[in-house]
Amino acid sequence: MRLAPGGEARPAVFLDAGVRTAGSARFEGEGVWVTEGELTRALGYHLSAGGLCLGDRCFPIADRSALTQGGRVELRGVARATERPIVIDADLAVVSLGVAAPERRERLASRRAPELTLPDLDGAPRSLAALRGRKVMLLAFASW
Amino acid sequence: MLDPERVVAEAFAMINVPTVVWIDEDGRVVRAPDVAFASDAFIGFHGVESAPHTAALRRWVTTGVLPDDSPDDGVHRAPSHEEQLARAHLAVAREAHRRGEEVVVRWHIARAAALAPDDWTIRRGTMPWLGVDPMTSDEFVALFAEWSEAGRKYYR
Repeated sequence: MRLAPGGEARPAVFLDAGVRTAGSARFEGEGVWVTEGELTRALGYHLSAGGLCLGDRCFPIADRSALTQGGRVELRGVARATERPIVIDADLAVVSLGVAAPERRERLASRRAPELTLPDLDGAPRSLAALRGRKVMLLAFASW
Repeated sequence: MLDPERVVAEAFAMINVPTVVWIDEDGRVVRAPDVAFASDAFIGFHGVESAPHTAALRRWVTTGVLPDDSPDDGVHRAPSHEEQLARAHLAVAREAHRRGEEVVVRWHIARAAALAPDDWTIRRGTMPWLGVDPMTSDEFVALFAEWSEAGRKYYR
């Protein structure tokens, strides 16, 4: 069992597959604790009888007492339960959760083109979805 | 379309550019992300002929016939846990870059590069964050030499 989280929460940044949300967290040793409300607000997960859930999908929790204490949730445990990679930089107060490799492969293998909306040179939003009904060759280039 | 946050590379698991994806009328990826060039201007550098892709693209557009060089599961490379962890480090590096924390940027990029050594969007794409010219610098020349000497294809 993990020690109960103590100390004050401090401003933190959550990166959910790169998507940035500002919030607060307690950085305790190797772990990071957030309130259940913050977990939902920043990362979309909620706790239920079925485990740790994101929308309709729930991940079983092997040891609930190690994951949650006193209304707070430990994010390394969240990463373990969901098989997601996690990077914690306590000095920077940043938590980055990547996409699980199996999930990413599943998305790619589905062959569904992801919904993307990006600005054009004039700043107008352009989406892949708007091109439905036409063949599309998407070319990614970079000036690095 | 401009992509400052690199969401296209993330969405399609691209590791280098230029990379092309073919998407049909129903929004289905019919040719997995792969390298292709519009001309042979830099063929001495990358060794990839443009004609096969151009011809295949023209055939698909005019007749609907797809080439048979795309993998059945739509994935040329299955991203590993390490590569996904690398992308999580890359996200922290980007955040640190926003804050001007160069030492932190350098540390997370080094971790990401070690975890995903084949990913040029990390190794070359982050050079500007470190004030390094990604086109002509010694660092880029060294990266390219490392790749070539290992006998690896530059773009895959």
